[in-house]
Amino acid sequence: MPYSSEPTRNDNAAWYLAGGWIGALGTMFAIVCEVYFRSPDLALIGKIIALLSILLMMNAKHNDEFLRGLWQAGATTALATAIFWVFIGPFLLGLVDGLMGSPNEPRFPHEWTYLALASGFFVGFNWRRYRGLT
Amino acid sequence: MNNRLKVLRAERDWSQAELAGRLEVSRQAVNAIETGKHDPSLPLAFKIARLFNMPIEEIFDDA
Repeated sequence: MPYSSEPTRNDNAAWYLAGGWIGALGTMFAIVCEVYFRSPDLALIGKIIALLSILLMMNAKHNDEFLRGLWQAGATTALATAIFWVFIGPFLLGLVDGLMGSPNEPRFPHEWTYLALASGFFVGFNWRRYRGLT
Repeated sequence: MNNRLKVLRAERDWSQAELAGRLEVSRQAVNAIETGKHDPSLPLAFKIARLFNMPIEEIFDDA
């Protein structure tokens, strides 16, 4: 009978979806701390929350196709963010700097790569969750 | 994709959790299908059709 594992499956799914929210909030907190308060130490709290959320979510990401689809949406967006943050963004900025003759300063700091990827993941995850495939 | 899952479930007086148990997915997945946030895969669509003893086309509509 499938009902014997039903509460566990639903509980795992609930935790999984909660992780999507908690991780998003942790990431936003870290970004605010980095950008507004310029406090990397405080931002570390948000980064740890985001990381723990992802680790928590990994337990249930294969429970069913819906949860798996959310994870894939987040992972795809994180990958796209990574490609943009590491390659495309700096290239485009360098191109503009070269054309404008302005000083070449790093505006995609590598210290923020983790936050960029985490943001991409949770944006993709929650977009898929609340908007579906649209 | 539109579907009649909620109606069919209500006709049998099943909760989302009960339907999820029969389909071996989470309740949250059932909710996502009913609200159109998630389109089921072909195996799951066939499972749903067999559960309700109806053709897939009478449950799901991509118009």
